[in-house]
Amino acid sequence: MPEERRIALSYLGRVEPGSIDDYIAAGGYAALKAALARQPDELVAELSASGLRGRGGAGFPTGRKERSTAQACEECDCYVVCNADEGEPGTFKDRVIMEGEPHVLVEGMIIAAYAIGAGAGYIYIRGEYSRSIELVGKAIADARQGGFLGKNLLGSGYSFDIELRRGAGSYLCGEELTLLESLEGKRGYPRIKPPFPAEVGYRGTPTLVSNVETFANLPFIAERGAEAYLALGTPSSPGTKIFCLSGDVEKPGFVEVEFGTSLRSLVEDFAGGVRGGGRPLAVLLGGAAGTFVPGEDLDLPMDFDGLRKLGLTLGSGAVMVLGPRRSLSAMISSMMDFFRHESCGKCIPCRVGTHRLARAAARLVETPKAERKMLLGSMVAEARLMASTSLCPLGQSPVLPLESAFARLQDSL
Amino acid sequence: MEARDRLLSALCEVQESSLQNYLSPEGLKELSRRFALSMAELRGVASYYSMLSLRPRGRHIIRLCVSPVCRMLGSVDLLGLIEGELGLRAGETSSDGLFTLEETQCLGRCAGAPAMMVDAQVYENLDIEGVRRILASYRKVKGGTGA
Amino acid sequence: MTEAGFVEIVIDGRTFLAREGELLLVAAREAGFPIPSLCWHRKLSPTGACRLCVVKVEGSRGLVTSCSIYVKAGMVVTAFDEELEEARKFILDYLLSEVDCGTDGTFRDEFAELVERYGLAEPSARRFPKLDMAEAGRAVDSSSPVLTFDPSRCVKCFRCVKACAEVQGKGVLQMAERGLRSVILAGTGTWGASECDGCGECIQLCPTGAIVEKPHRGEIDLASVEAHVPTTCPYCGVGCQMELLVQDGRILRVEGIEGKSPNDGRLCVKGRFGSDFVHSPERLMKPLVREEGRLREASWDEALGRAAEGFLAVKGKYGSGALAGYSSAKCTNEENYLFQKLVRVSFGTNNVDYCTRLCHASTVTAMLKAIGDAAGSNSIEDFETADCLLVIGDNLIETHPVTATYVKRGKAAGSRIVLIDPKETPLARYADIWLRPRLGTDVALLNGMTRLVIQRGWIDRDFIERRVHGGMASFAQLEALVAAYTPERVLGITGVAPSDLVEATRLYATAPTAMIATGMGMSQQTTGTHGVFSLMNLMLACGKIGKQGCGIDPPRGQNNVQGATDVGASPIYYPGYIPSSDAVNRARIARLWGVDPGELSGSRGLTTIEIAKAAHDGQIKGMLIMGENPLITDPNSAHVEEALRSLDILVVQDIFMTATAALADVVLPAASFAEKEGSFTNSDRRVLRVRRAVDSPGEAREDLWILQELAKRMGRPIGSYAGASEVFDEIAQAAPILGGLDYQRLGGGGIQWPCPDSKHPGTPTLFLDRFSTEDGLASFNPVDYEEQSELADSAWPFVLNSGRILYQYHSATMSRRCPVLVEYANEAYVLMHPADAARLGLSDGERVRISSRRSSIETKLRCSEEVSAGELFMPFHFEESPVNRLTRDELDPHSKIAPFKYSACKVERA
Repeated sequence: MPEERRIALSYLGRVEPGSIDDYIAAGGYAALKAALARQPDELVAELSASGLRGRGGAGFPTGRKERSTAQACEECDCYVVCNADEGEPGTFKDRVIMEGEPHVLVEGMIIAAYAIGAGAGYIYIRGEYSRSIELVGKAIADARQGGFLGKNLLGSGYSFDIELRRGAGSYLCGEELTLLESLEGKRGYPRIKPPFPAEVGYRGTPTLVSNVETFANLPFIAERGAEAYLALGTPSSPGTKIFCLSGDVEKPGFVEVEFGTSLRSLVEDFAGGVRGGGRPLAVLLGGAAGTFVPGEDLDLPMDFDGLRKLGLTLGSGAVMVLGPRRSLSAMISSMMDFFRHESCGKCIPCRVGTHRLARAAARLVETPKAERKMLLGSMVAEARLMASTSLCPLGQSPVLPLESAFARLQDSL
Repeated sequence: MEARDRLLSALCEVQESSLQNYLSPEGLKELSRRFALSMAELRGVASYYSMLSLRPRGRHIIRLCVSPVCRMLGSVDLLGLIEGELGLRAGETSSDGLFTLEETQCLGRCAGAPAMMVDAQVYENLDIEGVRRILASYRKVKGGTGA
Repeated sequence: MTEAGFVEIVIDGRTFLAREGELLLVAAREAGFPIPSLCWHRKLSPTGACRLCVVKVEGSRGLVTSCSIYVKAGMVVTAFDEELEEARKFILDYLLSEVDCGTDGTFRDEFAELVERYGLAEPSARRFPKLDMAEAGRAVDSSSPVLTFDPSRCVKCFRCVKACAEVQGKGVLQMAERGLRSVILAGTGTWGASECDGCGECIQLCPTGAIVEKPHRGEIDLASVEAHVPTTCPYCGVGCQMELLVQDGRILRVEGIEGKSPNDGRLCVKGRFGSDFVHSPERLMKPLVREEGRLREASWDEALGRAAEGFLAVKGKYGSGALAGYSSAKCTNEENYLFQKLVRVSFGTNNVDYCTRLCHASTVTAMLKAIGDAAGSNSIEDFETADCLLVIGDNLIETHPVTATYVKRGKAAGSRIVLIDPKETPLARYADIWLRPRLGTDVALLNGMTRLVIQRGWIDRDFIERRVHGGMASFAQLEALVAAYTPERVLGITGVAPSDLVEATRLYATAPTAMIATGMGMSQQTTGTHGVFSLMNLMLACGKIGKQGCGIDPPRGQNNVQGATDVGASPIYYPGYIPSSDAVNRARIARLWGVDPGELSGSRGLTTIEIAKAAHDGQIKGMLIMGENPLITDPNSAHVEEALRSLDILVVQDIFMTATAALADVVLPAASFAEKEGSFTNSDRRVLRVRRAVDSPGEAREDLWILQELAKRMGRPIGSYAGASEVFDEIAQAAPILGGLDYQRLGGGGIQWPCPDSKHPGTPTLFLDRFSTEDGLASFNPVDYEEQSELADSAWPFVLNSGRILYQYHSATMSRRCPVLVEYANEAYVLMHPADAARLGLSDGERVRISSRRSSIETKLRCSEEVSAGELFMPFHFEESPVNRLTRDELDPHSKIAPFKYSACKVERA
């Protein structure tokens, strides 16, 4: 059985959550000191060399984002924003980090900010995460008190501070440009892309937006170097990943393992297999904006590119197991309800499409089995048109689970 | 005039200071003055976010997760149960003004599904008995404080 | 070789040149590719909501919206292929399942046009059934006086939201809810109760029938419209270009003309909904003559005869000096020109003036002395682009709503606003800092600011040396005078805190470019000229004029205040600001007019209020008044009434029976702005065309005709013109600043004077090289603060301020005959600070009696913190509560302006 390998969660269980003294005693903020001893561009190079990929779902190389933000803001103040608006169904890894050891996030953000020369940072936490809001708020205050944040931090001559902002209930605000709109006090409408946040971000200024888990990997890289990081995971997806195991399994929970660990291992070893035994009907990877894997196809290496090649998504790391007696149609219906509820309504295809798909999915549950395939097929066709014409990732998402269900699980309908 | 980027926080604060868990017309008027924003602008922002309310709500907000994992593991049954217990439909406030029941999308408690929040408190691995107990505990507090 | 800024791109296999950085959608449409869109509009930031403008761009994944990408060299684009057209049809089909389309003939429906184009007009061609919108469905909202909102026709394109926020800077509208329940919201859901002020920008930009104009909705049939007549707005001095929609000989709708300066399609509520007065049944339709104390109808021949005889009799008995004329800021340049020509030639006097004496005379006096020109130095657009705007005594948002759109857009883009006003105006919420001095203390405040500029080293020494007469030596005198205005002393006089004074001064003085807007609050005081002098001193010390983006604009209150003086309706100036004392010019003009130079008086004539006083004293015996209503608008109006009653002959040309016309011996019915050709000159010196759209009612005639006929009957003809165009050609000869203009040039759009010859492009910014003084240099005019001669005391404890509101206009003869404007505001009131009201035991809404040393009037009390304690404010539009019965005619000695902004009063329960 493969073992856990903890980087983002390395302090979990070793420290009292949120205690800065515990964190420092356990080796925390040493990475920041190491980072501050280096030149920012050297640090950006190191982070780029590590091959770290964003953990929010898209897997975009973090170093490339940092480099372009740093270049775009040579003449101006830029920002670092932490996306802690974790809302993808089946996903709770960021919460585990923030509630387990918030300082690792704070430390990672400071390192990123120093590397790109940002003057201010924001952590945007979804409003439902009251415990995270409390702990991260305290961590920021304690870090400031300890001299890790604020003017001339740790005597380095560099100044940076973080402000905590909370969301108020919107999945879409987890999309990076929408998050910036929300951070500016507006309705959570997606912005037109390009420009990307690295060019025009918060308040029109270059901004590095990264996920909680991504930041939580930075102290390791800053302290141990890119080589040590590259030694973990797979060549295209170095390092570790937190997976959220939920649904019909014996031991739902989270696990941080190296990229490349097989899905079977996640389901059978770490989640203890299907609750009540048997083979799962399917596993949904990556949440509502994810893809279905049939229960018989669990021997998949979990990394960004490996799955993408198979037309699957790693996404946020959600692994949702459907037991053998579950209804795939009911699952699809609840996913389509989710998209309808979260569509902002700005663009026509998504506004109308999510509504129509939710209605169709409800029919899918009631319709005689023989007709389900045809109905699902027409849903896929509509979702494809929606995806090609929608403004933001939300409208482009429903096609992912629908297509994978249609292609791989027709017979399980 | 305050900076616009504080608006969301300010809306949350105004809602929290209301005894009925909502953005009262007076509260909005005050925000309109502070941020130099029109009423529609404020209501537009407020109505976008599911945690903000422009209608008076109960003293306690029950947010039952109905997103895929919780729904698969039984939250729909619990929804019916709570509706019956409180004599209301999702989205409504109980006649004693104690509870408002809301459906919510994923609370990030999927390992403890089905889950719900009552105000800031999270409850996981819910079943019928558990939900009854939880509701009773809030009712008891009410009786105790004489509210 | 390609033209600079143009690059080659390929669309659907065709290679052509497009402007680099241009929106792809715009470039493609200009090149003849009709890419559809509903949410894009040239005035708005790209929205990307309708998705109809999707194209394929080589190198980009998937479909991209052409409204959000910009032309780059070598771009290869597919705008039309089967997949794209299928996607567009899919989107339209989707939208049809949500929203209704089609027009009842009163508006254009762009959605319906696209539905037709994509073959979806027949319901059978549509793929998707109508969604059940019961959940999101909302009723039609017709609570607004100006529009109806039908959510079932709203395609959620955001054009109205952005029109309100980005174009007009108001932000009254926003989308509410989300997903399919999304709905446009005004206020709390009832348009009529929202902050909407009825400008109608959203109506103009709505692509469907969701937001449609309400007035005349039942009468309009776009297919039967006879003409769309482009013209210039008859209200304030912005000079908005608008189009009158004429059907059955009536103006049924007014729209802003997109892409034309100075308003780029924007209008305010008066411009868009204020033309109904043209068709009012109360229009004067027949000439009237007084007989046995009563006015009765007469023929033109009789009326003109009576007028001519009356004037000739006065002239014969008392001499030319006993005649005078009030020309009009509401009339065209051509009419004002002929009016002053008539007064100078037929009357034989320079006693010609008009309401400018009541508004900006002090500004004009001070600016002429300090910089040699009194017109706005910069274009209206500079209000948006300047880094800092200092607004003093100017309720811009209400009095010049479209100028204010530039200000608000500038603010949104990051420029700073310093507001100085004793009253809280709507601009206060946009201001970075708002100084609230006591009424009448501007000189002390501004001297204090100048002292700070010197002390902090914010003066522009180089500018002072090069551009100011006497250079630093002259500056030393100013420095010595302002030294006494320490922040503490300024605080004592004005009530403005030292820290605020410093911040306001810093914002203005240290901004790279800065503009000043100065209004009636500054000018209508007995110390008005000194106030503007102290403002100019500050501006010159900082060097904030005479370069791009820097200057001073006094926005003009009426449509043609600027033009009337430009063409010589002045006791002091001939056309083009040439003093009447200039004998060489008089000789030149005499030649042009074909009269003996000796017949033209070289002495300075009487000004507006001097004329009224002279009439009261029996010095003036005959008056011709064209389109003015001094009985309501002039100070101490009881005195004015006595003066007018004492005349031997009073002749009034007007479109309505005004309070002044009611006193006349002869009333001549005139044509409104919509019934004649001509030109107005706006606040930034733009000469703009006025065009005939409809016929005059009854026997009403154009003032041009009336003036020519009257002069003829007086035996001193002033020429015979085939039309306004010919009059303008003569103006161009008489006034060198307009020398290069004629109707042909003006047809293409307004041109800013000076424009001395036909090749000259006009002058957006004045004084770039020299000031218009004799030596080309500006001058400092140090002035000390003087206390008001009439102060509040225990008997008269309040200081009354007066002014305008958005929905009414001057004596309201026009605006009160427009149902929409009346629906918004039709009641006089006085604003009082709640603390004062509480002290007097008065409550909001009560009737009160306000008295000054002159007279007393009744009105309704409104408690409001818009005024400071001890100060009152009343709008002057309402003749049932004529505030000018309370104001003084004690004049500013320099400019002869009256102190409309400062009268000591008392208030009691009525």
